[in-house]
Amino acid sequence: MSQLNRPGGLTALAVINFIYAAINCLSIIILAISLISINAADETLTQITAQNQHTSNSFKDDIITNTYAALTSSIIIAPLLIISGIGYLKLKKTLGYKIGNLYALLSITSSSILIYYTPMGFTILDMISFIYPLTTLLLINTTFKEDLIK
Amino acid sequence: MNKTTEPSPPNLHETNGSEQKEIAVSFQNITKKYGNNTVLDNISFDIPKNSVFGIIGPNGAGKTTLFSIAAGFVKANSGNAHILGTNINQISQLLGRLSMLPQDANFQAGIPVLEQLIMFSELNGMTKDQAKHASMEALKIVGLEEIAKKSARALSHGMSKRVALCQAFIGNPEVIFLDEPTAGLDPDNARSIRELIRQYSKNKTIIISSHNLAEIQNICHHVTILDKGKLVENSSMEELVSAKNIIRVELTDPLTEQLYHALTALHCTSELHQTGACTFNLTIENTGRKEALKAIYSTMAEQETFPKSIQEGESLESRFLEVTGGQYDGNSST
Amino acid sequence: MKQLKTKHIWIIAKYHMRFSLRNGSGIIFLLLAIITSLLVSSAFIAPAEATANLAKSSLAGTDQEIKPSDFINEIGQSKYMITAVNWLVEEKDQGQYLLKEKPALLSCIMLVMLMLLPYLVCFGSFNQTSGDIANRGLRFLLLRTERSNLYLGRFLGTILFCLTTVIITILLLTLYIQLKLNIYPGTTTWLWSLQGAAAFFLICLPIIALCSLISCSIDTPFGSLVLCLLIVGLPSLLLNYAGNAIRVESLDKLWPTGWQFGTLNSNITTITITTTSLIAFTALFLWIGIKIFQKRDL
Repeated sequence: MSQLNRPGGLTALAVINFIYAAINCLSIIILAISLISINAADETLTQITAQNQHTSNSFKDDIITNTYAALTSSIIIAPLLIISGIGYLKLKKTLGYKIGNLYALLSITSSSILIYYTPMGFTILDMISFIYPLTTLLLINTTFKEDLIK
Repeated sequence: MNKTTEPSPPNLHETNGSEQKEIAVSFQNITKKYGNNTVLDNISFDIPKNSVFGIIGPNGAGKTTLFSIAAGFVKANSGNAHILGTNINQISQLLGRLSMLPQDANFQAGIPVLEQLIMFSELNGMTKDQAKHASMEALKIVGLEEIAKKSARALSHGMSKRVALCQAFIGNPEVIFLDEPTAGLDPDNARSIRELIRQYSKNKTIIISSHNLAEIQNICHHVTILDKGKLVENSSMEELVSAKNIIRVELTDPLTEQLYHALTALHCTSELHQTGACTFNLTIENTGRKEALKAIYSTMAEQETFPKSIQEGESLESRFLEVTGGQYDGNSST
Repeated sequence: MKQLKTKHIWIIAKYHMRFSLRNGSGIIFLLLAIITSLLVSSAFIAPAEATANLAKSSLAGTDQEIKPSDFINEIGQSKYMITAVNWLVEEKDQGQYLLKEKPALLSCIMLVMLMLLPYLVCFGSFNQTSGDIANRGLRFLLLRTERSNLYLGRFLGTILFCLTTVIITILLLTLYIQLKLNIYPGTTTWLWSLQGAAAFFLICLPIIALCSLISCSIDTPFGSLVLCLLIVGLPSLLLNYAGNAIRVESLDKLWPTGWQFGTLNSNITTITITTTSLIAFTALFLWIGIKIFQKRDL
């Protein structure tokens, strides 16, 4: 019966959640492969001259740190997206409302941290990683609050 | 609609003998065609104010089309209609004085019912607070205040019908059209809706269409019968079923010849018209109702035949079938 | 009566905006528009940022000061920007004006968005009335207000929603270009953004009016969406092709999409004519739509 009571907007949010979760899962795989590649590239680094050694090492450390951070973030965010998506579909307070808020806040925080420590800094594409969590935060606390909290 | 000549509004006061009645709704020469199919053919009649008016007819008679024209959902090919003196082309001027329960309209899915009722009330001229209060009150009247926050999609057929009925009563309209208000409802829901209609029929003009003829006969003061787009009967309920001089009898066993002769030999009866194996109508004359009933009862008792039911007047169903050319087997379908 | 009409139109518009968010179509349109604009922007901004970073790193460790405005010419004369502008805008003068006299980055982004916006807008305005006609939900409203009020209210609600989306999109872009890149003077950037927002809004108007017309003629939302996309795009292609075939310039001006880039012109007369034409198209589609809506059975 709750499915009949569910507004179309929550269904749309749930579907987008699942799509984002799939993208996150893909990025987990890509990041994991990147880490393996970076570590495997250790051998070639010894051939670089001493002059560039320092630059290469710090660059490599930055990349590895950022990759680990991004990987951790994706591993945490992906399940939250799936759980909150299910919560939206079932109109549950904890799964939908609370986990949805948690996902949005964690996503914004982790994106901010990653951007702060990325050598390139904040780019226009990074805005995309803020748009959806902000939209979620706004919608589940205003338009859909009563549907989820009841 | 005939735009070139705008007929003047009808005389809102029709004289019926010494009694002057105000007219709430007036249909004048309404014709509607869909391609070659004439759905309504030159329909004209008036609906008195503060009455409960029934519109009945077989499937495809044009009842819903007539309601749709009155409400402005559909445009007639020719003819005109006035509601409370206002042409239906300017129906928005009535603003809250007219409402309708459409037969097959649905609320927006996914939106709480209360929000939609508030929107309707605001369009009726209420402020936001007034609209919220009126909507909650209307939901309480139909016993559905607990579903206010639910979306229309989550409601059962009975609940949807009651919510739709509730929007028809919001804002205290003067004229209400109810298109098959009890169709598809269980007996309990149907009964509660009939009670609601009776309760709110004071100081309102209510026009009902229904296939439940017993319901129409019980509630309505006037009735119009449509058949294949034509108006075949338009009169008060009393006149139509000739309550005064007909008695309908239903027996537990088939009518015997002896009983037939015994009843027709009575001074108070002029005619016995058999409508079925166990049912017949007796036309009474020369005496009052009580004396006639007494004589009929004692005659049946002498013949050791006992009635299943005795009712005054013809049934609306039998008159309906007679007028529309159908066959009446004496068994009410309702 | 006039006050009442305005009030009714506003009530219907307000609830249409609210319900479109709840129904999901508004959310989809909002996210689609913002993400598309960010993706388009990144296609132009990323190379520009790379150029700026490269220049900065090459001067690292020296005493030379790097001003952001030093990069304007390089960005404005880059091959990919010139190609993009020449492909979208026929007049060379207009192309030069957009790249040299105005913030080139913003110009390119706005041109591409103006090209895509008519199709994006279809996703936000295809279901103004078709769904409610199909389920006969409009009947509850028809008793309470005139058909024209209903039509205009839904149109106004869609316009306001689109306007909000346009404002958010332009604001995000401008804030990024101004605060992060900081390669153009502030006033120039903001004024050009404002003109861009106006251009976006003006191209949305006739498209939303056209979608309104289609929506009130079709009883299915999906059919309405498909028709909207086809009717917005196909005439434009056909008129362009026909214009090239019979060598008649500006044949595409017979359709609103032919006026897409006119509001970003240096010539005030061109801007005025473009604005007037788009408003005229809007009025025409609205008038036809209201006529259809008033006559059809609901």
